[in-house]
Amino acid sequence: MTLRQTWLAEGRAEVPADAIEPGLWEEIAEEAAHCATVAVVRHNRRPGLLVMRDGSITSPQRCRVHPGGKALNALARSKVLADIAGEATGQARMTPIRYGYKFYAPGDYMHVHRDDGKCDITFSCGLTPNLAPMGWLPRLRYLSTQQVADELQEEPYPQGGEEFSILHRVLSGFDGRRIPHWRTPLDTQSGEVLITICFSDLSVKPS
Amino acid sequence: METIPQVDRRPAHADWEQRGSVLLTGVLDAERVKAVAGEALMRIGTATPYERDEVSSRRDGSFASPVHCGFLPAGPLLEQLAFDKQLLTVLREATGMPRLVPRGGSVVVYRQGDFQGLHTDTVKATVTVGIALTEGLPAMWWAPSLRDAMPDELAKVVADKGILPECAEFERLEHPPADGSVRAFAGYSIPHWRIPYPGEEPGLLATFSYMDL
Repeated sequence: MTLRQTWLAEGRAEVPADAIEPGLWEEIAEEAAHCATVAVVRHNRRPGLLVMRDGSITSPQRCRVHPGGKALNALARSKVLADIAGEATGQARMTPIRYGYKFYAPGDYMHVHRDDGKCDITFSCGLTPNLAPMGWLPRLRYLSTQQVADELQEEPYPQGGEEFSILHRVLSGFDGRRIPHWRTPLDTQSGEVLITICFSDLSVKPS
Repeated sequence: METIPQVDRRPAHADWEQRGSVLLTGVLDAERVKAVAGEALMRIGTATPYERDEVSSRRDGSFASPVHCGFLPAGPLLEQLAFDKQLLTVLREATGMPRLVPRGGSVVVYRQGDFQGLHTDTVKATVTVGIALTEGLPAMWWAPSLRDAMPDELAKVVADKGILPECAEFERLEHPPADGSVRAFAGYSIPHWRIPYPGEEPGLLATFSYMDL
């Protein structure tokens, strides 16, 4: 299947393992180690699923975050990533609008949620090798936000969910604003680092 | 993208949140706006029909109702203005949103009877700037009292009052004088509409769109 076909059918877009130069991953690893020392705690304690007008759902999560520096910026702005984002989503002017490191300590978690309505595609990968798969519910992709919230009934990690692997230094894109997804509490003894990069099409067209 | 100097943006942002609109007086070179108007007139033949015959509630929280007008993609001069750094800086300051990024612009062409029914812009249009390129464009109607209403609520408003309501509870947002002043408004948050265009000569409205990261 083409990128476009896979995106439409499954809400996924794989980035080839060799798409990003190994040297850049080394720089990113070094940068992340530095950022870890100054990352800020993100701890949303408001219980339950909050349905937002933009189609997103926010819910509790705990980790530490940092927006990154030059190395992550270079990754977010790499042409190959923009090309994959554009081809998969069929959009013309895909631009990385939000990206960062997420530092997970043992027990850190992310309840089921949907990404910001401006995120047309969300890429993620592990910077460390021991991240568990992402839980998600692709069959709920086309339900309205309220329908999703009703269906999930405040369950932080829904039963009957599926998962996709979070690979070490291999990015993969998914339809995070439509497909509810989550991370169960980190059950390793090590700290783990996740990268997320979200793209938005900035073109102006009649709608 | 340049960022604005470290200043207290809270008052500007509070104003924006309260009013949903801000007037930028004399922010553009009036001659430059005239040149953009000339460019749009030259290209008017390439406008494509912009028509919608449905009401739709979109998943990004925006809402649309029927439209009949023309759409003209940006020419080079309009494109330059849409990405103009000075205009962007003034907008960031005036709205208190330092992470506003330009998406570009286009021209809406109104021929006699053309209109845009009650709608809200895409979630990516945090700020919409409208510039009348011709005289005699009627004021835009808008409903600040319906700020951030969910699409289904707007569908009920339309069912109750029609797609082009002209009633006392809603307001008109007049075009500023053609002296380089422009008006910005919260296109995603506040429902707005344009009643049928009365003129015999086509009316041209340039719009620029900005997204808050």
